[in-house]
Amino acid sequence: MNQSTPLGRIIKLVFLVFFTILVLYPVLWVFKMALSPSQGFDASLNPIPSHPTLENFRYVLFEMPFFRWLFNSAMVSISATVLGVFLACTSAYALSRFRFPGRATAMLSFLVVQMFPGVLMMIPLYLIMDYLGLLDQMLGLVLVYSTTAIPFCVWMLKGYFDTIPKELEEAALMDGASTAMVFWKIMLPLSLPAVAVTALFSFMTAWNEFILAAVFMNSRDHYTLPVGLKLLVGQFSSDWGYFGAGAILVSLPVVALFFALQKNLVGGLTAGGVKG
Amino acid sequence: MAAVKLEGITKKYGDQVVVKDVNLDIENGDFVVLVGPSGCGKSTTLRMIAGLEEISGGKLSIGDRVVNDLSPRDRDVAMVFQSYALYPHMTVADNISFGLKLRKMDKAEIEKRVLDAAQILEIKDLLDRKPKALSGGQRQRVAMGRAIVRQPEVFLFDEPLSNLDAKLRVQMRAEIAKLYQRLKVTTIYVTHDQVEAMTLAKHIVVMNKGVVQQVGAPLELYRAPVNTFVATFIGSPAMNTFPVELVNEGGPRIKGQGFELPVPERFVPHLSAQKQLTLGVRPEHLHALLPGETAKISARVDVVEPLGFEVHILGEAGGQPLTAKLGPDVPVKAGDQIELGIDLDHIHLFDRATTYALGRKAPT
Repeated sequence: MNQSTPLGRIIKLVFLVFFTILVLYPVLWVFKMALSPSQGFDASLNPIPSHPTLENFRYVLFEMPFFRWLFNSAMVSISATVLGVFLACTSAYALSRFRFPGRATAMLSFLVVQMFPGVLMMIPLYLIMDYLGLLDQMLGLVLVYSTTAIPFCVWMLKGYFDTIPKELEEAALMDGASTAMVFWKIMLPLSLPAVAVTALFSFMTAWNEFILAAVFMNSRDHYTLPVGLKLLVGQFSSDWGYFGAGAILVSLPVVALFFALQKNLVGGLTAGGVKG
Repeated sequence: MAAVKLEGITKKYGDQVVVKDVNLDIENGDFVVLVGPSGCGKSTTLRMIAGLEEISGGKLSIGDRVVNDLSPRDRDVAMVFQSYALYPHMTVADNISFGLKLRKMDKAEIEKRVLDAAQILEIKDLLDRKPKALSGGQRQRVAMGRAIVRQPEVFLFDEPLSNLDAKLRVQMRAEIAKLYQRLKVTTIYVTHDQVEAMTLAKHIVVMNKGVVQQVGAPLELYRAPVNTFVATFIGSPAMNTFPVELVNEGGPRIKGQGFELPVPERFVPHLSAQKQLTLGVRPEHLHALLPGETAKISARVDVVEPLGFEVHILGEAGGQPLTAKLGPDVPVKAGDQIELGIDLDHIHLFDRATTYALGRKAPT
C-alpha cells in the first residue's frame, strides 16, 4: 500500500461524501414525507420538512391495525428465520462434513434455484398452498419464506463450516461426544458469526417480502406490514405522509436487529484453537 | 491401562492400500512410537486405534475387548493432536473438563481432576484464559491436560511437538517423558522425527509405505537395522551406504569404488550366491585414519561442520555422498582429500536386491 498524498485523500473524501449523500438522500426524503403534515407529494429538493409534525406516525400507529400487522410480520419472520436457519445449519453441516451420494447434486441444485427470480414461483406456490389449505394462513407464509431462504443459508453456512478445522470435532469425539453433541457444543458456538448473518438475511427477506404475502393473504387481519402499508398507496390517491411514517416504522426492527447482531458479524471466534 | 493389539490391521481408500497388514502387540504400560516419513501410514494407524478412521481389515483389541466397531467415546482412549485442537470458545478449564462433563462426572471430582492436571502441567494460572491467549507451549500443555484428566486406558499422541520451535520441542519432549514416568499409561506416539522416537520410546515401530519395517527397542534398531530403510532412517546423521561387490580373493572381501574391505567373520555364515551388496557405515563409525590401518576409505571433504564437541564432515567417497563424525581436533577443511578409517565391528551389509540385512529374511 502506498501512502496517499493530501490531494489524493481530499479526492477520496469528496468521492465518499458524494456517494454517501447519494445513498442517504432518498432516506432523508422519506423522513421528510413522514414528518410533513400534508399527504401530497412535495417535489422540492430540500429534504428538511417546513412544518415538522408526528401526526403521520400517530395515525399509522393508532388509526390503523398497525400492531396487528406488526405481530403478524414478527410471527412470520421469526418463525421462518428459526425454522429456515435450523434446517440450513443441519443440512450445511451434513454437506460440509459427510460424503454421500447426491451431495454434489444437492449443492448444485441449491445454487441453481438461486438463479430464478422468486416471482417465477408464485403460481406454483399458490397452487401448492391452495392444495394444502394453507392460503391466508401464517403457517403457509412461514413455510414459503423458510424454504426460499434455505438455499442461500446453506451455501453461507457450508462455506463457514468448511473453515472450522476437523480436528476440533475429532477432539470432541475423542472426549466422548456424540455427533449430535459435536454439532451443538462445538460447531454451532463456533459458527455464531455465520449463523447471525444468515439469520439476519432470512429475517430481513421475510420481513420485507411483499408480493407473495400480498397474493397469499386475503383477510386484512392476516396482512403483514408491507402488505398493510400498500393500502396507503391507492390507485387514485396516495397518502404519502402516512406511507413515509409507516415505512420508517417497518424498517426500525431490522435496523435494531442489525445493530444487535453486529458484534457477531465480526468473525474471529475460531482464532487460537488450532495453530494457524 | 490396557494392552493394545493390532492383528492384520489394514486401511484402504478405494483400491489404494495405505496401511498394510500391521501386526503389533503393545503391552500394558508400554511407550510405543510409530515413526516413518510422511505418508507412511503411521498417522492413519493411530487414527484407526483412536476410532477416527474406519478399519478396512484386521482386528484391533484394547484390553480384552475387540474395538473395531466401537466409536471413539467407547474406546476409552485420549488423544493429543498435532494442532492441539483446543476448543476456541471455551476457557482452559472448560477445555480440560469437557470430556468429564460429557461423562456426567460429579462436579467436585471434575474440579479436583482439573486442578491436579493443572498442577502437574504447571498451567494453574491459565485456567481462566481462552486458547487464543496462550503460547504454543501452553496450548500443548492444555491439550495434554485434556487427555490426562480422563485417566484413559491408552494415550495417543499425533505428532504433538511438530508445531513447536526447536527449543520448546526439546523441553516438551522431556515433559512428555516425565509425564509418562509418572502415569505409566500405555502410550502410542506418532512422529516423523527419529530423535523423538529414539529418546521417548520403549519400543519403536518403523513404517514405510504402509508397511511395518521393524519393531524393537531404540538401540536394537540402531544396532541391528533389518533393512536399508531402517538403517538410513534411524540415526542422525543418517548411515552412509555404498554399493559393493562380494569377491573371493583369499577369503571373502567386498569391493566398492576406490576401496576394498575384508568381510568380518560374523557375516561369513550368511553369505550366499548374491554378490551385489550394500555396505552401511554410520558416520560415528568413521574416524581419522590410524597408522597402519587398512580398513579405510578415501573421501573428498565438501563441508566441515564444527559443533564444538565433534566435527561433522560432509563430502563424497566411493561415488556416494558421505557424512562422518570426527573428533573435535581433527584438522580438516573444505576441499581436502582425506582418508578415513572404518570401524569393521560396526559395519552393516545388506542384500542389494532385497535391501534386507544379511542373515535377515525379507518378507515375501
